[in-house]
Amino acid sequence: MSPEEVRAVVDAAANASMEAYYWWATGIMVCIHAGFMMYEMGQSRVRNVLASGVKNILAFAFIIPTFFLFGWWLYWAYGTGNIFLPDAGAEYAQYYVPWSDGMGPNLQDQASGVFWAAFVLFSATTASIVSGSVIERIRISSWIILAVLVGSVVWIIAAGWGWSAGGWLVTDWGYHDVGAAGVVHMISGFFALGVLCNLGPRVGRFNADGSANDLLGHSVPMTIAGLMIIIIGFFGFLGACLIYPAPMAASAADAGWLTIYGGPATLSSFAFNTLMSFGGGIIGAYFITKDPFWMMSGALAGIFCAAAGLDLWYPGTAFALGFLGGVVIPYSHKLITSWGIDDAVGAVSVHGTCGLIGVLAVGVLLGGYPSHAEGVPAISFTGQLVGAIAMGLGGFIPGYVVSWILKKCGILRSSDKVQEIGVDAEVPVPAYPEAMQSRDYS
Amino acid sequence: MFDSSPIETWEGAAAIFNSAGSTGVWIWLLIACALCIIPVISAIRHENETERKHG
Repeated sequence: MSPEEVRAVVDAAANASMEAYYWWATGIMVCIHAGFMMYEMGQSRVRNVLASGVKNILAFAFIIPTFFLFGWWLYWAYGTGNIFLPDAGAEYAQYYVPWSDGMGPNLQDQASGVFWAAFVLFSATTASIVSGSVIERIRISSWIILAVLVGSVVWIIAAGWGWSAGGWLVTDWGYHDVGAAGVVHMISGFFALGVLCNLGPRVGRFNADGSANDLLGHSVPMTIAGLMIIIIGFFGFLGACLIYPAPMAASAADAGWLTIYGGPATLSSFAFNTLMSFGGGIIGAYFITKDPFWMMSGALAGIFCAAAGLDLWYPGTAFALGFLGGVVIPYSHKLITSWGIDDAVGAVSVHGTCGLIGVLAVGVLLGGYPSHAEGVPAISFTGQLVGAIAMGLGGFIPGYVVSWILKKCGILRSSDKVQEIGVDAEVPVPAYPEAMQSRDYS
Repeated sequence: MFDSSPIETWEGAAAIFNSAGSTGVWIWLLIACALCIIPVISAIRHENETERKHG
């Protein structure tokens, strides 16, 4: 075989491996959605359980076409240093308009479809995070609008800012967030907070004196099992945050796994730190609460507290950060509830608070790591703080403004009467056999 | 804030985790061990309390 033929064979094999890697990572990420659906249905009372499921399924379904139509394009149009307006002239933005040759079967482009698919699942995850906090009173039509907004617009603009080599947060501030603690978890958590301000609490959640009642879901075991399935999904999610080794790299530095910023990394570092922070989160929450709901939420919280620096943490540090996340979430949830905010599953605390901890922890503990690209600042506390502010406001403001508009249009929230009957009134089939039903379906 | 990078350049870098090759690693190890032991002690106390209440 000539050198050219050898190179062609190596390229073909490497490209097929790359496709297979992202294909299966995408499949594993569907577990995040399945887990969130179980988690939300378990946390719902019997009269609301199917509406919670329908809401979750529809978010996933609507994000797929909208991410095809404009979400993927937005990522590339915001990854060239711009903050407010997309750069339609950017090379990849032009390539990823939905009518381009790259946005469909193309024998010369094996990467675009699987990258797009992985990002679709990242997008569905952001919507799923918000989904649980608003159960048992949001109207499905409004939810679809909000899910598309957070999943196919808001988070992907934030990803352009801080989760691409050319984003302004990266090039100007050295922002470092390899596992998406800010761009996915802070954005979703703060978006949920903005929506909850306008949506209001479920009927019966708060008393006239402001004290809160626990509205217990109908199946804690379903909730806990759902949370464990979400964890499976996050192995796909975090694995897909890395760029697969190029077949014939131009230099040794480009030969292995790369972070989303193009810096060197290993899948092993993600394995060490994902598992250590997962364990730390569960133990931290067990230490504080002894409650299995918070323990499994602590597993997620732990991962998010370590996510931004998964490529760089010493595993003992990742464990301690995970423990911190597990300890913090019940208190953070209590604080948010004391403001009169009804977050039905603690999503603002688990994702918003722990995403914030994750972003800032990199600034506090990982200062001084040099950049991979010339002219880009090293990791610093200031850079991470600017990133945290951008993610907090970038999530909260659109969530608040659009849910306020939906509220003014009178389509945000189910009436108190429907809530009392159960929002499953919108679903034509019962969730459980008649002995377990809470209303008459005849 | 804490400058914990063990590298100044990515060329030829090997162990890149925070505090690699310094005493910082031992501090994090000790913290991790303590965070495993303290919850076990807390669990024993919690179980003893439950035993006293219901036993």
